[in-house]
Amino acid sequence: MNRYMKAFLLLALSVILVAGCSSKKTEDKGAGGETSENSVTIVGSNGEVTLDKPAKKVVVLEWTYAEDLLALGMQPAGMADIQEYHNWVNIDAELSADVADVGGRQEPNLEAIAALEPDLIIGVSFRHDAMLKDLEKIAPTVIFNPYPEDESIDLYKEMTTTFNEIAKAVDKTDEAEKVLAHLDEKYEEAKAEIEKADLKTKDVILTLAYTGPQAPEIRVFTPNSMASQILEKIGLKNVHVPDQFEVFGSSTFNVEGLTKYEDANYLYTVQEEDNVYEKQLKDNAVWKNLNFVKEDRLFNLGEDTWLYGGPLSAETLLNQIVDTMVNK
Amino acid sequence: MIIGLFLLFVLSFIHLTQGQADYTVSQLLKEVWVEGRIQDIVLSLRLPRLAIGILAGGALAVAGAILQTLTNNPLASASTLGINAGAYFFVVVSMIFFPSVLGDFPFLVALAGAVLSSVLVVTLAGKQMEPVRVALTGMIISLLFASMTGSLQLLFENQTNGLFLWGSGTLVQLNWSGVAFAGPMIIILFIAALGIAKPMDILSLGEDVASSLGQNVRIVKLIAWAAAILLAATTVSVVGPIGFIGLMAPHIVRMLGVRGHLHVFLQSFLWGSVMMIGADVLGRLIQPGQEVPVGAMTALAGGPWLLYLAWKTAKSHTKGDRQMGGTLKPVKLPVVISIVTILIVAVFALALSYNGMAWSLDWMKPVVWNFRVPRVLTAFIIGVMLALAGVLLQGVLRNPLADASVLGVTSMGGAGAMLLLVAIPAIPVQYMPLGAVVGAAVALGIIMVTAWKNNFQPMLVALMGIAISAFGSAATQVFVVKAKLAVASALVWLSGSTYGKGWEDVQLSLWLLVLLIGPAVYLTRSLDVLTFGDDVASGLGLSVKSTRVWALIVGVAISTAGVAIVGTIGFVGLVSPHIARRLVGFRHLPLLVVSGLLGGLLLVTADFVGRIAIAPKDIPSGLIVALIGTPYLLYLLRKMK
Repeated sequence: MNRYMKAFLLLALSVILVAGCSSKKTEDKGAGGETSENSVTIVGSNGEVTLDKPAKKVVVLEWTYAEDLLALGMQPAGMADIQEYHNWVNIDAELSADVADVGGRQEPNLEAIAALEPDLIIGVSFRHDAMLKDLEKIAPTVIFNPYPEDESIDLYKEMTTTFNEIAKAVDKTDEAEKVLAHLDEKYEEAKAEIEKADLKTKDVILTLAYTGPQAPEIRVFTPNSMASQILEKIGLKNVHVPDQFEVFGSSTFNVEGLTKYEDANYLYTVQEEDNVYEKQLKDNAVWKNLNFVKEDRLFNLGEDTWLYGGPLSAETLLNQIVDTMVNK
Repeated sequence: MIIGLFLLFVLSFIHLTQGQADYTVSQLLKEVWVEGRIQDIVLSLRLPRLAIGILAGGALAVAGAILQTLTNNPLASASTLGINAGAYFFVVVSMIFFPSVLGDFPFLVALAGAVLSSVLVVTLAGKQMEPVRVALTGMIISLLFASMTGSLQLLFENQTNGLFLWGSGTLVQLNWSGVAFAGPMIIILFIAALGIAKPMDILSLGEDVASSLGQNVRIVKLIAWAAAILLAATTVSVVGPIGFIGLMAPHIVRMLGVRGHLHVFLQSFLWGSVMMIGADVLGRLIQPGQEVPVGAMTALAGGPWLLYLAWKTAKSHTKGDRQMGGTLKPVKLPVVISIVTILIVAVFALALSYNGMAWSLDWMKPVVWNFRVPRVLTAFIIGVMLALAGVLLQGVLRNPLADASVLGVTSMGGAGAMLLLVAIPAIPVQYMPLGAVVGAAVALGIIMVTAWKNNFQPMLVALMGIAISAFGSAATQVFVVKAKLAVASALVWLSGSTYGKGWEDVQLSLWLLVLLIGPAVYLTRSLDVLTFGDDVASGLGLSVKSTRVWALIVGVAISTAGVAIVGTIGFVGLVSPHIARRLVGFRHLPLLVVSGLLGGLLLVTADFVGRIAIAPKDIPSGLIVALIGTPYLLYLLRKMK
């Protein structure tokens, strides 16, 4: 062994030592957590998370949970991917301009999050499970899973559970109750209006379309999706029954698949600049001859109606449905 | 020929009965003749799909046949030469930045990419068109484009959503416009190909013979290249990149005993169509009602085939030794090491002090200490490991272009990890490395088994690696499509990321490095002896075979350890040994030390750039490495005549 190797191994050894010390240090920090009077415990997919006192400064790493905070009348301290959020989500509550951007949703910037010194970080399972340990070094972290594998949980129920947990974490359970109660009222109102309206059929399918490879891809929402639950609440009937459990709440179809449901009303959202109905499908014989196209039972819900959001998105969705179906 | 036609007919019939709307065969047969729903579906959805499949399969097969003659290389096809990857990259770029251009001129966009990558490959591979060199060059070009495509897809997640499926090719059609566009093009090009069949017969006797027979070799070659590239670009612009058909179909035809280019082209077209339609039928049988990309199906069948071909090619090219290069006037080792160390210290200082938004020199501050320091250290150690693996593998294969990704270890590792994610969707992402280790082990196993008898001929091992690598990346693509939403995190992992590495990772990687560096150092002496050639080496009492086996095992182990910790970061293992060789010559011990240090330097730099370039967002360091490393590699390829 020559001297370069020696130097190399020496360097290696010293780094191991350093590393050994540091990992102990972090463990100490995590263990100290006594429950005080104000403490709150919330449940996410990473188990129970206890906060000494309700959180004031929250960093959210997924849009839906930012929306939940806004519904409770609170601005997040930091949030991921703010620019894209504005392109996709349309709700009444405004996101304040001084919310800090903490990077992309997939690999949020840990240092930027830490710089905000948050009391709570909220993440989403399919993106942030892998970095849970790092996030916990910054602040208590709760992760939610909006797409449970458990078929018995519908995604609306998941949405309200998560909303209530977040409300608990920021000590706004009263507000949360009000928001949900208000939403229930809105459902009743909408139901009455739909009832009154002279619809040929209350059967519907709800879709989200975009240009896939060479041809439109159409997501048809399944009965367990949040959006479909809302349809049912206002007296419409989702007729799409998937062949298999769809964990994300939608099946992917092409035009051929739509023939099964041509007698229902067709509710859809589509991005204006990617309007597959006006561009690709306009001259397609199959599309043109579908009953809901021929009989003009197409209802456009608008491009920024976020079908995967929280209570505010739910309200936007139901307003849009009533607007287009009743007042068309 | 008759068998082929019959098969095509049967498969086409089955193809037409498949679709999301369930109709029985008798319903279809009865009602297709009258106006109505069934006729609409058949005429505007199913028939165009069938037609585009037949055209695209045929076009790719003919392109492959032409390219194989032109490069006198049984491994050539639009996908192995990087033509597909180049065209696809251009399509993705314009989809993001110039959507209207893509909408209006999809073909021109794809063509530009196809031409660029084939020009690159041809100029870089050199005049002799030596098969392995061409294949390696094509593969590196593909890697370059694929990594750039991957980074764009990551950064523009929402804009490129639908592209994953197309990325592996799909035949979905909505009307006849695709056929109307591609059909005439392909038919004209096909006729042109048939027109130059005779001259190509002569050309395949050798250029000298051809020109002495009075043929204008240049013009024939030009037309042939143009036809092949245009055929490939046309199909990419309509159905996406589809691999392997261009490779397999001409071979099957030649195996059937067809001779003469006229018949080879005709039959290749036919069998290409049969394979394409067959793959599409199969894909839809496996998952009724859902789209399985047809390109993935062809790749899964084609990978093993490529393996077989590689084996055969290598057998007929037993003399595969090449100069490893390296300077004969090495710079003094202490000088090199001090300079590199100074550079490392400088980059470390920079990387630890700047986070993309603000400078801070307090490295012990908890934020920096918890996140930045371990991340930079991990990047350094992994960089060292990857570079060490590169030295060993290049030494074994006596091929300056070898590294873990060329051996297929990296891509099989990626495929293994993705398979795990698809098979057990609930599994936490942390377990992906486990799948990676298994995948890499499979790749190594295949190489061991196939190369054992041939005494680990460097050429053979390299070709096997390319085949395995192609198979692995195809499989990865299928899994990415299947895993749907989990895709974002998988993609980050696949492109290699030093993001969020903590002290545990530093410890783990350091232990692995300490464990594996001993055997690596021990092997350097035997590798030095091996550079004199097999005969001399065994004359000196070295067991050539066992040296190769052990260096292969250690090299793969080191790179797999790296892949398991940070995902698939390529290029470090390829580039650092090269730079080191130019500095300190070809003796393996100094080479190992210097290239290790350079590898560390490279990855720390890449990590730093990825962190600050678009802060607060993060670019995976694997992509940065590829972007830094590829130009250097291209330059090297150019120089190595």
